[in-house]
Amino acid sequence: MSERIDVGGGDEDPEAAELRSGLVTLVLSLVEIVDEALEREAVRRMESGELDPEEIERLGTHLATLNEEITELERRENVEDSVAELRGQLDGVVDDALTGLDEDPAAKTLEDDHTHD
Amino acid sequence: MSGPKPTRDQGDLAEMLETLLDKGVVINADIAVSVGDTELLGVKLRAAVASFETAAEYGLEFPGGTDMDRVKRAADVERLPEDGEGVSDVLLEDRDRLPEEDASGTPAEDAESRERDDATDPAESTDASESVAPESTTDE
Amino acid sequence: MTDAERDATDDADATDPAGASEDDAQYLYCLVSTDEDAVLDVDGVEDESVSVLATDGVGAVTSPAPETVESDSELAVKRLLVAHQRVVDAAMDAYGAPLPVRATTAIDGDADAVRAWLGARADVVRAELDSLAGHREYHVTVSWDDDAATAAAHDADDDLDDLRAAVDAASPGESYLRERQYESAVADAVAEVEGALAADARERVAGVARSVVDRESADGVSFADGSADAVVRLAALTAVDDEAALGDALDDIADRNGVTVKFTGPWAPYSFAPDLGDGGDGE
Repeated sequence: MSERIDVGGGDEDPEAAELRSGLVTLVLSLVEIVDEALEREAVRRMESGELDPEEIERLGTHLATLNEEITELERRENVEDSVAELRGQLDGVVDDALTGLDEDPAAKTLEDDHTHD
Repeated sequence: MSGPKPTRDQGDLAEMLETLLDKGVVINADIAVSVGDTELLGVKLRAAVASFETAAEYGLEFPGGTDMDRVKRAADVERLPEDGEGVSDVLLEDRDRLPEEDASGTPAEDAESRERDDATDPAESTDASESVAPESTTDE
Repeated sequence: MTDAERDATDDADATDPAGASEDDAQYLYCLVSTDEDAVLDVDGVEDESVSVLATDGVGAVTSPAPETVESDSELAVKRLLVAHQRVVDAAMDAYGAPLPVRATTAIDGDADAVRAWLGARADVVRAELDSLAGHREYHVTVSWDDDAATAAAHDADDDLDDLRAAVDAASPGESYLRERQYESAVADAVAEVEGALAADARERVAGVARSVVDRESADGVSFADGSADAVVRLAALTAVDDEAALGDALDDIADRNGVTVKFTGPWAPYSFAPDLGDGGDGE
């Protein structure tokens, strides 16, 4: 990745720094997700035989480099933990959405039945 | 060869507390009220237990003044119940050492609650008045 | 939220056996099988006195409810739940398996209001209590350490060794992709052997217990140690007399390499509480 993305927030301003950190976390989390999707697709194509050895080598090298750069960027911006946490939370959201499909929407809780007359 | 016997130590209890909010008979009658927001309580409990256990595990630094013994106890039982004692008895000991509330709210409790909030989320605002329980309830 | 309502229905003080006045709601812990009123020797929520209000062969275990609980205070939350568990425990010791009520429940009104509510559904409650008599809830959590599970996956799936070899044999670029391929295959294979272990555990427990249900992990936050490695979490309704047999059934699983079995209880049967069919038609 040769382009710079300037999100501001120098060391002097702690609030801006925190905002920057949050933004960087979000961006790199998404980059990780896309990167992993690319890798899965590459493996699929390799397994299916549609790639010749040279293409496999090139693709693998490219993805390996990408992966290294993402890791290095996270380390430099100090967001390794926050990225891991955000991705964990996103997994949770997806899980909830999926299990929510099974649940009975009519199931009541005490709060629901609490009348205010 | 006989199998394992079931246990009921502090860690087991922590897991059970979650069950108390999720399971059990639900009273849907008009006459039933709820003491506190059940869902919020559930979330808070999970955060509290997780923050204690995690922090104690990793030996995290709490802000100065935190009673690390209490943190440790919350994460790991200090002693197991002896013969003839129930889990409740051990917990009562723990409970007795919790800060007492008086009418004005003790600084110790405020500080502790604030510290716990800090431990779980440094960005969370630490409003002391939020963490003091209602005045009329206990009378120690 | 409910203070205004409670004030409006204030029914004066005299009939509350706990002796507290001006209490507009009764915190409800559980329902038990009994013919007479009693005071339990245990402190309730906010250290209030705990009474058993009997009507028609069943009893409600209650204490004067606090006006509110600070949801923001983790301390208050933990205190309430610990008190709740403590009282249900004491009731279980005194009366046998109770019908546990979900935490934070209170009945609007005084002791008479509770009796009236309970009396209206005494038959159903008595039947449920009779059904639960002599039973307890036990929790079983089976965990499998990563390395041991991976080893078991390798044993079960021959292809994995070949994939692993391909990683080492390939040129750098291809090796990277082969590594990803291997990781994915291992993950699938581990999921499969873990599924088999879970099924085995469920079957063994079901062989002893009267009823078995899964305990869902809430929001991915773990309470107990090592539940990140948990393969299955079960709640089992079991006759007290069968407790040892349940332990025995778990023995063979616990013997497996890298497998830990956590067996807790006896608890009150929270996970098996029936629907009392209250649906808003209560009195």
